[in-house]
Amino acid sequence: MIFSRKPPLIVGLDIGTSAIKIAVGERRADGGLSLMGSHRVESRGVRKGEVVHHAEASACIMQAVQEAEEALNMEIGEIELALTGGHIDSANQRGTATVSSETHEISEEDVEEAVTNARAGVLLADGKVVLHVVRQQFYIDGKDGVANPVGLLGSRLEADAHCIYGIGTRFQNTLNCLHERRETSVDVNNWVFSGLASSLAILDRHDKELGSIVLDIGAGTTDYVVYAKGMIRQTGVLAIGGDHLTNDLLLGLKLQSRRRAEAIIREHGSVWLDPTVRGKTVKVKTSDLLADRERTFQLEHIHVVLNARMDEMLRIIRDRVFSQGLNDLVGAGVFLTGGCARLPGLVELTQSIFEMPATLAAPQGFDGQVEQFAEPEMSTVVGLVKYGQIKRGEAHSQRGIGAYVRRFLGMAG
Amino acid sequence: MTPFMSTNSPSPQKNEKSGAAPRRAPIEKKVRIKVVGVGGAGVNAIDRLVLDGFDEVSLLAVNTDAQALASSVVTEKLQIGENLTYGLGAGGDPQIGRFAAMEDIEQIRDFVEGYDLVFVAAGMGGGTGTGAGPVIARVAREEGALVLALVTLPFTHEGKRRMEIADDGMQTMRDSADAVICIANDKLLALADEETSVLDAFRPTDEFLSNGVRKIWQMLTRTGLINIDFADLCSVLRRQSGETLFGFGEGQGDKKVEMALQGALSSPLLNDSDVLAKSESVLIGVTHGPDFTMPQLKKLFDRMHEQLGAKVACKQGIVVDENFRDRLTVVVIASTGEAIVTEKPSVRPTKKQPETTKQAPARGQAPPIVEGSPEEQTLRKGLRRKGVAEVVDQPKQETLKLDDTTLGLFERVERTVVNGEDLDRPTFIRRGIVLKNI
Ligand SMILES: Nc1ncnc2c1ncn2[C@@H]1O[C@H](COP(=O)(O)OP(=O)(O)OP(=O)(O)O)[C@@H](O)[C@H]1O
Ligand SMILES: [Mg+2]
Repeated sequence: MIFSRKPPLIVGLDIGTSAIKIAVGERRADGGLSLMGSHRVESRGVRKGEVVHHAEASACIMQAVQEAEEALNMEIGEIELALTGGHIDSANQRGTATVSSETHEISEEDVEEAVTNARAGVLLADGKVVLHVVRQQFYIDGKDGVANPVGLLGSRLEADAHCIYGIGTRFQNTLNCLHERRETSVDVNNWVFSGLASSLAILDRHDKELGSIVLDIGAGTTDYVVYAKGMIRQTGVLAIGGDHLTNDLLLGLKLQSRRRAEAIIREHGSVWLDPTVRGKTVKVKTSDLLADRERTFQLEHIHVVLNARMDEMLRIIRDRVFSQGLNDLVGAGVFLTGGCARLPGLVELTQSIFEMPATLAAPQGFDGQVEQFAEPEMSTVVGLVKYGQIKRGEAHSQRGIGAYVRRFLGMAG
Repeated sequence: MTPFMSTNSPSPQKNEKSGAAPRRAPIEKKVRIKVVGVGGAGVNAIDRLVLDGFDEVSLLAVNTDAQALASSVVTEKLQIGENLTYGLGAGGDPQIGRFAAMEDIEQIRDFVEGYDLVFVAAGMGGGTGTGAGPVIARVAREEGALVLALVTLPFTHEGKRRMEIADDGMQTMRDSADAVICIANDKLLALADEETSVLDAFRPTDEFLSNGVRKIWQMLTRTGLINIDFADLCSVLRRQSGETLFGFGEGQGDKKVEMALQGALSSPLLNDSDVLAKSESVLIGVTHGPDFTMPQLKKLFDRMHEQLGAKVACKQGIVVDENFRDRLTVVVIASTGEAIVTEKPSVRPTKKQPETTKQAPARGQAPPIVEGSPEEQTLRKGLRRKGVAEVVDQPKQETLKLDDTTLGLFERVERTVVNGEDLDRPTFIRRGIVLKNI
């Protein structure tokens, strides 16, 4: 790959279970980010955040890319790609390096070595690959709390790193879709865990310092990221999302079609049980294939089914986060994003389960076409653009996280 | 006890005079019947029903092959698996047939919902009928219908591979439908006359399937001296584990009894073994004219019972029809195995309760469900009917896992399992939450 022609635009591609989103942004001269446009198409062949049907998904991705190119009048050659899936997990590891220079001045190489050693501490089962190695903090001769040790003096350097990993072949299923046809194939600059991307789009430095939990609740998965003291402490995926709500309601109300269930969730859904809905009913057209029929449902039934699912999902994630002792380090609370964050009552339910504040969050803190990005569904894709921008800032070294990923996945970006 | 006596059948003549008042109240609710033809052979069979002018039941043609479907004369059609096959058929691969049905499971549900009896007609050995047929049967059963599959096995000359596929499909069908009536094409062809051309080779099959549907429909809907009603059919067929046999015969003139019996008992399904003798429950439906005499009727049933074993539970129905002067038809439905009664308490291994139900409900939580409350009981029963708890009731359950039909959204991707619990199954069901009156 030749680096002479650095494209000025940063393109994010989020292959979601329900929709493919593309966002385009520009790195401003002052280092800030300006968002220019986005495109969204319904996705096919994707389940629980992973490509399960190659042909369908490829066709749909290529359609999205082409349409975006036309709409935004640009050529898309390189992208930042989001990856998710229930197989993704994370671990915090510490690695050590002996400072090599005579002067005991810590160099970038020493830092690299310590981080690499931290990464090596992750015991990977067969077929697992590391997606990210995120630096947390460094210790110089046992003294803690240094964010960037380069240039400081010491003889022993330790690094804490947060490693996000998953199954290589499952990532590959998604990556393969980008090279379906030569004329439309796009190159991947960086692949990014989608939860991490979302967190970049919605949290500011302050939120990360105070400590926050980001939940991106999509159609197929819920991706979570926990920050404490400005560092990523935990990441993961629970493959539960809006599709489960749909499926539960389909069965609970004995509905005949998925679309019907989705419409009911949108129009009448709530995950918070409010005693005042007791006895209230809603009328719904239930069949478009047989003669039109209207059925009447208890609003309470709808809410009970949805509540049970979200209650369960939130408790599982809460237990995972709290079991790491992170609850006391989260001061800002829970940030809910992704399409399902729109569900009425979710904020209240989350607050009651996590016993901390919760808010609905969408991308924020950007310039440009702000409105079209201020939607919870757009967090991941906007975060991708942000990630691309950060990487460009670091690009001089070519040794950032992206380089690691490329190296360890054994692929050229 | 001779079954004839046990029916306490009144003399037809006497009844004629008294206005042929039925002994039992006629079926209050009309039995709603749907016939679904799946795949090439299945659709051909229901086309035959239309061509024979039988328009008493609702018909649905299902296929992956758009072109074949377009040429069907049935009005209600459903193309499945468009995304999978691009309308080009399943290419003889049952796996594709199955996925195609899974893909459009909600539409299938739409079509079979609300029927009491659903016939699924399919040829085994190809892709669509073999793969999609059982899924459709399963969905119909989940929707509460009694599901009777009418399937054909390929000709031997179609090859060993096809026969293997067909056998697998049969097995899955047995697990999916309440009862399966199976017929080998070879046997039907053997009955066909010399002149049958190659093109017509499948005609006997189509006719057999078409006839099967019509005779059963007649048996259920015609009010007679002694009715065979839907409940009777259910008691013979519901959750059948053994072989299901079906035969019918017609007779005219002086020898009508012999002819009808001959037909019924030499039906391709009954003729080659002593299966009738092994049957545990049998339905015999007779339609005759007002001129049929008591001794003739007795002779008919006596002859019939000579074929049956001693322990058989036999139920017979008699319909007197003005149009059947000097004519007679006999229909026999028998099952060799014991029908599994759904009402019997399920002996499910106790599944560990989800952790979450033990927790005190927080604000915004679902109200607790009273264990053992009437609602809960209904739900459990409902679930069993819906197939949720039925896994253990079934003798075999290899090919098609029960839950699959409700999990279309999560096809082809790993199940979400946390702490040993399959979270793809609805939370409210796992938590035992009861939704009343849905
Ligand atoms: N107003 C709403 N109320 C409830 N749910 C909604 C609403 N709007 C969208 N959703 C749900 O949000 C989901 C889509 O969100 P999103 O686009 O974030 O998911 P995705 O990125 O495609 O999926 P994933 O991230 O799991 O792969 C769908 O399940 C949709 O039904
Ligand atoms: Mg998403």
